[in-house]
Formats: sequence, structure tokens, C-alpha cells
Amino acid sequence: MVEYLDASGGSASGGEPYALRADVGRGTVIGLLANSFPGSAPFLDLVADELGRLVEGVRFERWTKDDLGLNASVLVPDPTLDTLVRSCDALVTAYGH
Amino acid sequence: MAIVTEDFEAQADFVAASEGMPDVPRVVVPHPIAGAPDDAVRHAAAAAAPEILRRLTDSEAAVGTVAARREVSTRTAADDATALDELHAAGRTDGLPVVVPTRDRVDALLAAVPFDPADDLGRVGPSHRRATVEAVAVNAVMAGCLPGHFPVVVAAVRAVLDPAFDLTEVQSTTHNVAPLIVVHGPVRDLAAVSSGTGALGPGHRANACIGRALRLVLMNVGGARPGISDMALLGHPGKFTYCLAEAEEESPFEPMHVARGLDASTSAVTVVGCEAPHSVISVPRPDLGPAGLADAILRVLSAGLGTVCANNVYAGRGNPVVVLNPGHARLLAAGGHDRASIQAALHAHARAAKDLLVELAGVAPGDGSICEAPEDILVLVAGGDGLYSAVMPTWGAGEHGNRAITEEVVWTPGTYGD
Repeated sequence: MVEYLDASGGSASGGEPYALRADVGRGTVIGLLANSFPGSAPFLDLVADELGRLVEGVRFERWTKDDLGLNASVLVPDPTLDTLVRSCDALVTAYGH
Repeated sequence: MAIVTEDFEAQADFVAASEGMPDVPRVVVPHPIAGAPDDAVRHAAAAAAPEILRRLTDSEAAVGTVAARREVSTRTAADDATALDELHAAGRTDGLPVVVPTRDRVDALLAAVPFDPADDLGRVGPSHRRATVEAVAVNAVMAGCLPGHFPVVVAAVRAVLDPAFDLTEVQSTTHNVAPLIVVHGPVRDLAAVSSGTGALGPGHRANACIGRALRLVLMNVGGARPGISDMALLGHPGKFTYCLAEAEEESPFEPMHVARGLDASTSAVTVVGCEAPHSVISVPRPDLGPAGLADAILRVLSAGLGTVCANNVYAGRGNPVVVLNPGHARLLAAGGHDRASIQAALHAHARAAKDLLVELAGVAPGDGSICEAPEDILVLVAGGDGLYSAVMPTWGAGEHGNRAITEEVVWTPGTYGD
């Protein structure tokens, strides 16, 4: 028998719940975070237009990773994340090209 | 929630799982959105919106697994061959056979460094799992490292985990970039890292294993998988291993690590994200004097670096690399050059016209130069004497421009019989 070590650095333990549901209606603020690749922000604008047609009275806040000083593939740091969370009820992010 | 273009769906799944939130809603749209016709983009938005609403309002609270603590776990196999098959099947290899990381083998490497196995070197993107010294040793064993190679590996891992290296971006980009490790100082000989003929080719155990160990750490701890989280469109062979020493004794210039502020007697590595080497030919014309010969070499190096094929001229940032063969280095010195004048000449002439860049790419944040300052160009001497030197353009993007990072190599006394 051969016993060998895990190359990934080990297995995770622990967990915490996270909520995924949002009530979307009049007055709901939906955040839109573009990843700064070409077309990302205009696409989210189009998505906002469509969502606005589906749900009357929903409002939008917009950011881009560039505005936040972040590269597309970098995780949003916690302080910035806190700001985004405080600013909107749900956040839609663009991922990919 | 995320809107994900189709080709990035696997990567999005990986990142969500890595962050302990595998159930974050995703809506997939056609790839790419960038550059797609207007009507296709509008259609994609119209199709995505109702699905976004449905996912936002229908989702239930879910439990994610956020890694509170990671310990290196063990597995048991019937024999070495079975263990190797399991490692391949689990995606823990680079496609080549690895050395099975048994406790004895890992402990032998751990003894070579003055660190506790549980010491945390930092979070390795894109998974952001923590690289303990032990986890690095496991991967170094798999790469075939000897104990004498391991201090260099640890230094290389520490270098890429410096925030200025922009590792997560380097791991994730569609650019074909890999970390190049340059080894400096006394450890070159102690660990037998080659700087001579074929130093970036096969046949040099230390070069092969040290570079490979870093790659396995990036894959297994960092979670970089081709097409899933490592989005390099083609990759390059340096993603298997990419390590050499500087031929300090062959160089007429001060060693690169001295130029970067270290004492010559300090052992260190410099790591930078590079494309594969671009061979640069300069044939000495017999009718040219020393100044003319030197100028000819600089002109072809400039042409190699200042190409519209590479990121550096668009971004105007980064640490492009020049590897001079000892013969070219001697000709440059005979022509009156030192490191600083070489860097200045390359910075002045290795550039592309801004309007050409805009014509080709639409955008060009820089002014057509390959980096911000002459001293950003890394010049080292390595390889065999002859007609060919090499340039390695760099990724040059990221929050910090994917800076080259120099990190000292430390080892346990006695590792090298010292």
C-alpha cells in the first residue's frame, strides 16, 4: 500500500449559508457590474432596458471593474463588495468576453 | 448573480465553487458578446432578462462550503502505479507522469527550507487556496525535485504570490503567458541550475523540475485548469516548465539581480510572466566595427520587442525580457554598452506607431513603447554562443502590469553540504 499526500493543499472544512433570493419589484435597486471587456457595459445597459420593461419601477446602479480599479479576473475586495451590497438589492455581474 | 458567456461557463463554475458559493445563479449567453453584431447582442440581452428575473426570484437560500481551514490530506493506493493513475484521473498532473508524493519524499524536501510546513505563503489564484510550505513540497516532489531544488521553488512561489505579480490575472488570462523563473547567485551552482547551451530546453534536471514544481502549484493549489480557469487560448511549452539561471560568469555586465538591488553573493529568483522565447538572429557583419556590430544587435532586438504581435506595445507596461547569448553580450560590451545603455537603446527604438496600434486594435493605452521606463526591460545573459539571442514579451496587463518580482532564496544550513 502507498499513502500519498494531496497536492491541492487539503480539503475544505466548515461552511456558512448564503441567501440567493431577492424580491424584485417597484423600488428594487439592481446593480450592474461590467467586467471592462469590450461590450460588457453596453450589454448590461441592454439587459437593464429589458429588465425595466419586465418590472416596472426597478432602478439600476452601474459600475465597471475599471471604475473600481480592478482587473476583470480579480475578485472584488471586501470593502468594495460592502459598498456594492449597500448600494443595491441584487447584483448582476458580467463574466466572460 | 452572473451573466456568463458560454465559453467561460466552466471557469465561472470553478470560481463559484472555489469561493464556496457553487449555487450562485448563472445565466449563460452566447460567446462572444464583445464584437458580436448589434442585433445578436440585443437578442442575447432580451433572452437573458427574463431568465435573470426567474433566477433572482426563484432561488432558495443555499449552503456553500467556504474553506475555513485546509489541511493536507492523505490518500491510499495499492501501489505506486495505482497512485499515479489516481493522480492523473484527479487532474493533479500536467499530463506527464509525476513522482508519487509520499510522506518520506515530502519530508525530505521540507528539511531543505527553514520554514514550518504549515507556514502560509499566501493565497494562490484563481482558486485562492492557501499555499502552505507543505503543499508546495507535495507538488515539488511530484515535479521530480530534489531537496536542493526546493528552496528555489519556495522562492519562486513567494515571488508569484507578491500582489504586484498579478498572479490571478496571469493564471486566468486568454494571453499565452507563463511565469519565467531566472535563478541568480550562488544557488545556481548549488542546485545545479543550468545557464548555458539549451538552458530552456530538455536535459537539465534542476531547470526542468523547479519550473515544473511552480506550474504544479499553480495548477493544484491555484486551481488553474486549461479551458476552465486557465483561459490561455493556446498556452505555450513554458507552461510545463520555464526556468534557467543567468550566466553571470559569461556576462560582461553586472548580474541582473545586482541591477535589481541585491548583492552579488545573494541567491535569488526573478519571476515574470512571459510569452515563449522569440528567437532573434543577428549575424555579425565582418565590415562593421564594434559600434556598428553593437548597433546591429540592438536594432534586431528592438524589432523583436517592438512588435505589434505582442501586448507590450499596446499596454506600454510590463517587464519585457531580453536574453543575450554570451557572444552578443560581448559584442555589445565591445561596442561600448553596459546594461543601462542597452535598456535605453531598446526603450527608445522598440516601439510601434500609436496610430498603427489604434488602427489594428482600436485601442492602445500606451504611446507605442514597450514599457514605462528603460530600466523595466530585463536584460540577462544565458545560452550558448552564436547568432541567436531571444526576447520574451510579457503580458503587461493587470492591476500592476504583471511586474517582475525578485525573491531571495533561503535554505536550511547543510542542504548543499554547506
